[in-house]
Amino acid sequence: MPNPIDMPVPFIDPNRDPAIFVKALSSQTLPAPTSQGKVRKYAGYANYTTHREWVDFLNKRFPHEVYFEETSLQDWADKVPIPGVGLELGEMWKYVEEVGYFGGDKGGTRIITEVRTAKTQMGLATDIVTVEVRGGAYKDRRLGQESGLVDSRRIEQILCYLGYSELQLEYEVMAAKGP
Amino acid sequence: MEEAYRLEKIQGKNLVHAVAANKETIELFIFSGLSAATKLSGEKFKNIYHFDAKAETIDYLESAFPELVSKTVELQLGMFATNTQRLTPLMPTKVCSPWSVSSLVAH
Repeated sequence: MPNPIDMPVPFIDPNRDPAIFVKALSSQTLPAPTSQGKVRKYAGYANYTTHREWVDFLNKRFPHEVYFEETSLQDWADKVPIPGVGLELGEMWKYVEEVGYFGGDKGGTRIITEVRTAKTQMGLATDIVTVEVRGGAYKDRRLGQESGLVDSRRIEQILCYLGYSELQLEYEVMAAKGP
Repeated sequence: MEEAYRLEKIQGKNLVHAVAANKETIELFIFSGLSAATKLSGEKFKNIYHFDAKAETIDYLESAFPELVSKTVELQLGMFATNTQRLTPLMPTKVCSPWSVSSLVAH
């Protein structure tokens, strides 16, 4: 890749996550545009993941060794067989590194997935389960799911799986808050 | 890629026109966009067409239909995790043939 191995990249599961963000935006009153004549911009992601984390993830699941190699933009672009696509995507990766996927500080984009609720810990003898809720995103270490977005029903399903019948868990999608 | 960029801008304008034609009844227009790469990079990266085409669609809406601004939201989604399954070279690529495995040096 044409980036350092620890560069964070915002990812989503496109088969599931967009609907959650759309629901968040459409189910509540949004603040009026703050800049005259400018559309409000929001950003949604499930998790920031680095190339290193991807490699670690793949090595746990693939029988063959997967490794990361940092290359120049041009070398990376030359590996893409479709003319023009390599340069476009290569520049995109450098843009993510140098400016930011969502346009950085000058992009005027509000992030709608942030840590909204503090960790909720449930003790069960020596077994501690931690669920982090990120304005609709969650990380459930016990299930081994490294990123994802949930609604309250999904949280209930997870807890049912873990053997919990009740949980008071604050959960809120924060579409109306700035970064 | 320039042709895809041109087509995506046309499609974006068509969407904006469809919204404008129904502006009396539409409550909220959520447009799936991306940041303005050429502009925000100071023109260092001018070939990220799939970003710029979407950003320019919003620019067009703001200039041609300012009355739609208050009814419009741009949603920028993170990178699709599924790209790593299908899109070379994002997906893991075999770097040696089976008969040269012994020469593989892990990085």
